[in-house]
Amino acid sequence: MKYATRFLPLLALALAVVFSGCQRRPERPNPAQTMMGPGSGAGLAGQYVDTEGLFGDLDSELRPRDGDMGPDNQIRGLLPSVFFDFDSSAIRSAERPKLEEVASYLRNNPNTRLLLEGHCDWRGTTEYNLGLGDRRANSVRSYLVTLGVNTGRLETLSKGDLEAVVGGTEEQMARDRRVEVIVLR
Amino acid sequence: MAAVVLMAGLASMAGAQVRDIGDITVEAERDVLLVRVESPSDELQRLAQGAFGAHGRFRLAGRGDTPQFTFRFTPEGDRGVDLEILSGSPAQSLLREGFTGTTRRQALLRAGDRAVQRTTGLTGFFASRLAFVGARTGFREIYTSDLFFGEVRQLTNDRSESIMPRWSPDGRYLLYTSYFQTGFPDIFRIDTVAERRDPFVSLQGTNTGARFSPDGRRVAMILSGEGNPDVYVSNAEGRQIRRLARTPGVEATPSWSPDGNRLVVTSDLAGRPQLYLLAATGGNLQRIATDISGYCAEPDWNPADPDLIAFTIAQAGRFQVAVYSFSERRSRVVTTEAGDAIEPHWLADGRHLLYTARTAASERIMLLDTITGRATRLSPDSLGKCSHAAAHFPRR
Repeated sequence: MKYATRFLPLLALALAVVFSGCQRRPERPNPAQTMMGPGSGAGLAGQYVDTEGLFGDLDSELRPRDGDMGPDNQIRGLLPSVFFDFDSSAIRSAERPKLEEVASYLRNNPNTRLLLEGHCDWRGTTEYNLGLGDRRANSVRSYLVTLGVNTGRLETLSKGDLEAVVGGTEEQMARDRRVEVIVLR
Repeated sequence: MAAVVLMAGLASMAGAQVRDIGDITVEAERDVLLVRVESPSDELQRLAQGAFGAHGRFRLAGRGDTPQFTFRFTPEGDRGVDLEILSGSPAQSLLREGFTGTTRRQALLRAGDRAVQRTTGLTGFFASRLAFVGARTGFREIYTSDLFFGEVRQLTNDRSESIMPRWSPDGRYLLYTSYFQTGFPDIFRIDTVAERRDPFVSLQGTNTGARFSPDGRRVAMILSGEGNPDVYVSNAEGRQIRRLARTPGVEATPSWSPDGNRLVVTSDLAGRPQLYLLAATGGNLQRIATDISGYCAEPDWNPADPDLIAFTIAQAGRFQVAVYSFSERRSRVVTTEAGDAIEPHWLADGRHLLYTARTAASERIMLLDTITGRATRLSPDSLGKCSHAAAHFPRR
């Protein structure tokens, strides 16, 4: 694990170089580097997954992962969570002031990035919930972008129902249907 | 990631025995064979009784019963079992055959499959290898075992939530989803022969739902890196990744048709999750009119009978397993769990399937005969919560 954490930024840089040749769209700034600083161990970079042949479709907008998400650099609870209706990823009007607060926090902290972590309640099926958590996180991201936040400052992650309270009450389940807004150091 | 992660100390656990075979519902069905199972070895006797007691085509003869067949399993050396099938009065020997395996348990299960095949014509499934998710350590990890939870091995020890293992058709590889290393959901591959594990697909977004095609040359998966979760197909190495369909919905759990030409997937394209068909070369999603529930998910296409798809439905505030028939154009519920029945996975005979019985307090892997409804608990309490069962049946 530690091994991976140390070398990933550099490997990501190597990947970015490999990719710049075939990518049509401009490369986004690599958040992993600003987040974790430069790595070391240049000799290992070449051993990372050879990206040649990764995509069958040259128009693919898929990109290799460019960082990891260790718990050490996360501040939870500073910004409010956004809650959702059952099986829904629409932003409720009651939740909008929270997102305005988040956007304002980002304006006041121009170097901060956020992790939007999507969650579901325990009812349902594992993989659909993983997808639903993904869409909830992206729904929050889209809303923040409409408030003027640069998409490069927003990372998304779905935990699906993996951290949900099993057998929770209706109230607990409502708390599980959320996107946590986590500040990244 | 080039860093080859050797699975540290494959935890081997003492062969857990089938202790509780649960309630057996015997349906009045002419097809049910009354059999007696005999072995001089207590362990083999228990295992064989558990296996035939769980199979929907058999009923174990009681004291006063006259069995139609007697299956006699005699240990032969450390790794062998001789099967003798007897019938009639006085008893006539119909068949004698020797079986070997990596262990005596495995030899017994192979011999049992032969007895099933010889007396019913059905393909056996007792010798299946299981992959499943166990949570006895407090974290979801990947395990393997035989079908009756003997020879249990813990393959991962990552403490990072590993879920949904699926076998390659040759039984060598497992693909699964885990937050290992990056903290994001990625697809990993375990080589059970070389005992190594590598990242298989690690792209921005959610990477999950990986499943080998029946010929083992392609892998269907769900990736969200281009916006929201869509269906993709790669080659067997996780390269040449190509999107099959772009939809505004969330797709999940692709499962291949037995001929490898189509996929059935979950999608909430029309609002709530339903089942859709998709050509393996790409195209539009076509709704399957399961007509049974507003929530249909986790489809598993029957590998032995392309007419049938098992899936999970929401019904009366709970979840049950249902089976859809293309020829009958209708679905029927096949489980009667008091809690939830989820995660169906067909076995090699195309008649029985595995599922997870879930309550707030427990998760157990169950064996179900979809014809009679007979449900038998497989995972022992000693293993804690067990779920996400996938079976591989070695064809020899």
